[in-house]
Amino acid sequence: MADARVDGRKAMELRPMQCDLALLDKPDGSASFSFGDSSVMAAVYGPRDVPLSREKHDRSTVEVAWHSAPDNEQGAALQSHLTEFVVNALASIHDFPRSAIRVVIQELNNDGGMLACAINATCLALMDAGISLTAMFAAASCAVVDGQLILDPTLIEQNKANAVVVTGACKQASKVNAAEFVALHSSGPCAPKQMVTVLEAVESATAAVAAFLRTAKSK
Amino acid sequence: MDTTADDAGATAPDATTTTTTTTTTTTIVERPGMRIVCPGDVITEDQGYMRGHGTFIHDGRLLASVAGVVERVNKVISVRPVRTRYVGEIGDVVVGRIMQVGQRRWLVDTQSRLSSVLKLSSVNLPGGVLRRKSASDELTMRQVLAEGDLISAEVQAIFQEDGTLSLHTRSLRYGRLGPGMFMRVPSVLVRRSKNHFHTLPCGVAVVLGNNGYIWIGASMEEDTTQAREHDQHIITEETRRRMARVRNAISALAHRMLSIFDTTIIFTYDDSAHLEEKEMLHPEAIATITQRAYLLCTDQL
Repeated sequence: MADARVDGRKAMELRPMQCDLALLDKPDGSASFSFGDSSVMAAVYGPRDVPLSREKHDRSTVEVAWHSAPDNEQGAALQSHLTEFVVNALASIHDFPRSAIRVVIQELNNDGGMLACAINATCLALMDAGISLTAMFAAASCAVVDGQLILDPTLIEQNKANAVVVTGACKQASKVNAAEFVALHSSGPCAPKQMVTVLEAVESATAAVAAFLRTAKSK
Repeated sequence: MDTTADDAGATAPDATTTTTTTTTTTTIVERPGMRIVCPGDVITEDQGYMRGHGTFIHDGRLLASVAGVVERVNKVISVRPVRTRYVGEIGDVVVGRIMQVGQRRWLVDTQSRLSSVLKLSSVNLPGGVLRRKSASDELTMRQVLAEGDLISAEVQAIFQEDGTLSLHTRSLRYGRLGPGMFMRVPSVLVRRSKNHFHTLPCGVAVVLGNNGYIWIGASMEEDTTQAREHDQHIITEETRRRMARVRNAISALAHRMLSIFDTTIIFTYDDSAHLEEKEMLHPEAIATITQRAYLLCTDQL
């Protein structure tokens, strides 16, 4: 089995990551994040006032708006829901009752793994906005092509994947415990045994992403 | 920074320059002994400390919940985030924009977590007569302050339940702000001081709201409750240029994350004399014109 992929990467190799903070002036926090050619911009507004109909008396209402790149309009609702889930799990929403945190995700270029990109960008944007989080979080995706695992698939590889595309979001509580999964999304059939290896791969990848985000923030 | 020219003709200073310098990667003024943490980082495992803002306790360890600088006052450890929404304190001077006219109150945007409230009973009505507000006053509220108006006010109280700020304008200093420029900076940059209303040596008036909202005008009105007809007077081009220069000076300070108060603004304004207003926000220009302010903020002057 050839180890090298179309773009010359090894099977378990991530694409180069890039990020930028505080790009926009209007939102309270913003960040862009990219894996290779896949790139996403996230903006965070809040905590701020919320219409009465959506107000929650004990916590902040989290809203995620997902704007797809023009060539990719599928799955926006699902992906925004998953991002919302992650923010709900890790932001200290109970500190800001009767307010709203709004996350706007804009896909800039889609080359696979958009959800992972978006979650990473969201983490950075939330930190930039000064919203308290229980921990930093990061995500990476993994595909199974003909029984072989490949990390961080490109769009072509993702479409070719006959089995699974998994995106695991990980909570990275430094030194407390290695990593915890907070969200997981998979499509396509995946044997339990395969799943374990997938999870391990995604976990180590997420750790790498988290380490990258950490250095990015402390600059 | 976010700028809107309230007066249609005001020299909206280089919207283009602001958008080109988007690389606002926040440069923090580093000091020895300063510790920067990320959410989830362990600050200390020592049990003897108390948890302050921006931290939480998990498994007996004190962890950071925001990205920022660790601060310690006696036994209380807190993390101050680099940027955050405005957290009000009683007595703060704020600049706000009227969002909604409600029942006996106005809702004001002050960059706080929730809209602030300005009660009808905490404003001085035009004419300055102090009396109980009647039902007819309720009906004419929009003539006093309408949606979109910019005001300066003071924080009177903070509601315990949710932290909403209650404002008042019961002083001639406070009230509706006339034609001028509005800009937004991170609220942490505005230093709390005795006076937030300044008339700079160049003649331009600024109101530095503690909430990070700043108003720049041609001159400070003596009585801010006066009628809207006064908005009509014409501001000369020279004054507009000076206002634009002040605005860009503040913007340059914000780009470098330096404290914003009268002295730093005057330093930056004076040091930019060799540049045109629109050249002030080029990255190299920012470094030169804010150098004296930087030295002042790091106690090297």
